[in-house]
Amino acid sequence: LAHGEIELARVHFDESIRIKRKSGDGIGLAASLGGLALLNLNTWRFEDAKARLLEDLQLVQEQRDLVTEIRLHNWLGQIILYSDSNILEAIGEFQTSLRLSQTCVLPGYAPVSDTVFGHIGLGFAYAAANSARRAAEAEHSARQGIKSLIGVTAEFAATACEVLSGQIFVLEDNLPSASVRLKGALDHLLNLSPLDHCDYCIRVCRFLAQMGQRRMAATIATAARRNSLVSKDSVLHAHLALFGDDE
Amino acid sequence: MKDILSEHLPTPLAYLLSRYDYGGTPSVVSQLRLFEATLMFIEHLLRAQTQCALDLAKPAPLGARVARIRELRNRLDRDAVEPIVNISADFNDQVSRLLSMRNTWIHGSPRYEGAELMDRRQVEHDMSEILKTLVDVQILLNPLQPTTSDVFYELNGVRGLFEPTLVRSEKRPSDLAPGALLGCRPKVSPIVLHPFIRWRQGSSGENRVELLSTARKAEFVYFDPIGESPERTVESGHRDGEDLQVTALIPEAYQVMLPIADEVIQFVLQSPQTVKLTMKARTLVHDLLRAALFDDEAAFVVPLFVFFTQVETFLRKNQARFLSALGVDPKDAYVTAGISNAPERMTFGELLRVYSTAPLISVITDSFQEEDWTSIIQLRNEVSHGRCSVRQWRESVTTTIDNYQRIDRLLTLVSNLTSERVPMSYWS
Repeated sequence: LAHGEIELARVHFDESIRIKRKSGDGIGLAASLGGLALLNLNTWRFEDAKARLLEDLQLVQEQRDLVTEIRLHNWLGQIILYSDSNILEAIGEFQTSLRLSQTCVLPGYAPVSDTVFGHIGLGFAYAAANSARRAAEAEHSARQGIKSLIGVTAEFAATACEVLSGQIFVLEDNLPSASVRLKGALDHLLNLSPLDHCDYCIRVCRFLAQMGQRRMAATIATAARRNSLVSKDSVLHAHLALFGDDE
Repeated sequence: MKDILSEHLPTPLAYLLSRYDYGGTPSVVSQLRLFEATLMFIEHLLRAQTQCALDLAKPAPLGARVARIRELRNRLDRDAVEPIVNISADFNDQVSRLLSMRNTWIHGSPRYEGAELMDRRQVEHDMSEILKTLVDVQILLNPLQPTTSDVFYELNGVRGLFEPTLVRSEKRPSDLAPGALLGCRPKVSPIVLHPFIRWRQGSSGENRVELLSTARKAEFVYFDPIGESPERTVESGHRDGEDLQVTALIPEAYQVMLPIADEVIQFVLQSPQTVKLTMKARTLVHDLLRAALFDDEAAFVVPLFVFFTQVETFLRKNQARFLSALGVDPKDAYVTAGISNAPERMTFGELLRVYSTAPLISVITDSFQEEDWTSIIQLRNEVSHGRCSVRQWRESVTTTIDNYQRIDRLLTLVSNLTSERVPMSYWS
């Protein structure tokens, strides 16, 4: 994945799942299922991602692995939000993730990262529901938490928050600010994680198209196609192609 | 077009529409839910406008829902009332095509692809057209905090879920309860949507708009169009018990959860004379109250028409024999009653006057007193001349109950004197 070999990564995840299933390695199987689900979520293969995630969720619940469960509810929320546009069910998953992270008292567990991503997920869901106020509240909560984070996680969370604030500006009809925020955040994401860059570009384009900002969506889609991963993955390419060209 | 619809449709429909990916992979399931919810919404808006709860207690197929929409629309047309939903001339064709699509999917193959692509475009066009009928309907939520100002929350568009727009409406009904919904459309007076459509706060704080699914004994059952499964919520009704006096006369009053049902129950309880009614009189009053309960104009007029026609026919037919049996010269009877018309051209009022005054000049019987028939004659004339309306059910039923015993005494006297036994629908 680090070298941009999405298909190869998928093959290896599949093989890993097969072997762990055969050997009865429940913990390893759960980890591989989660890895493949996240890859499929990032590459917009939601049907497969959801199936893997639900199986994973069942396993981690059986294993009483609460920390992983918290993360899985967040991913499930993202899948539901972008595959079914089911805002309310997605909010339910993000809230479950948040509630579990805030009540989890396992030794060594620091809830701040999960809490931040829970709020970010909620923020995107509220933005999809055209609620600028609630989205801004969620963004504010996430930014408060980011102050306690360090490293790549903090950087990624802050970038996601920038994307969210760009969407909030769109809802508030402040398009110049929205454009600056979105472009800046997505450019930064390209350096941080090319795969997440593709994923977030499509998310943003869909949001903009839904809000009637097709031109801005086309500009972002055009820029996203410069990411080399797009040409390697037909699904990502097809999704971006829906938003046309800005020329 | 989808953007405009998503922005202006009532919130649950806008939400369902936002989940339906126009131009993308068709999701027949979400399309069906959107179609069914839209029809239900139109029907309930019209029900609220006409205050019609007819057949709400029965599960009905989708075709019956379409027929009900047509019927309610016709009723408003008859009353020259602008409907809250602007239904186009093509509505029936569009709904028929969508119904056919729905039935094919439900009863046949669930696949919807390839060769049916053209049909799909037609379906999307029809769906858009039907949704357009609701874009100018505003759903306004009265704030939960009691207020006398004219500010409401507008539950239109996806935005209505979490961040409804604050709007002003100067036509606030005076006794609007907190949390009640109003339906508004330009040129149409605001309509209180309770109990047909209600607001409920969801578990995430979202605004849900639910539709009355069935109204059975002392409970409302509501349907949430955006619930994941056909989610139903039950709310207890306000009535704790059933009164025997009401049950004996109009048991249906406890099966309808509408303000009109409360009015009917109160009416019966405040009319002690209903206890003394004969079986046939009860049938007459029951038929009238039932029609009032379901706001059924035709069903309200028919019993009165039948009752008056049968009574009048009986009295006209037996007039000569009645006077003869009393030993009264018809001329004396007519003079005493102050009537100049020939017997065959007498009005109903004159006929009753003859029947009332003849016993007074008879040497055979003195058991009858002159009666004032003005109110019942007035009611009979309203029925005959098409002026009787279910809206005045209270006055009409009161007149009927007040006069029934007098008519009963008169008919009994005539029947006894003439030995004429005529079975009537509402008298024996």
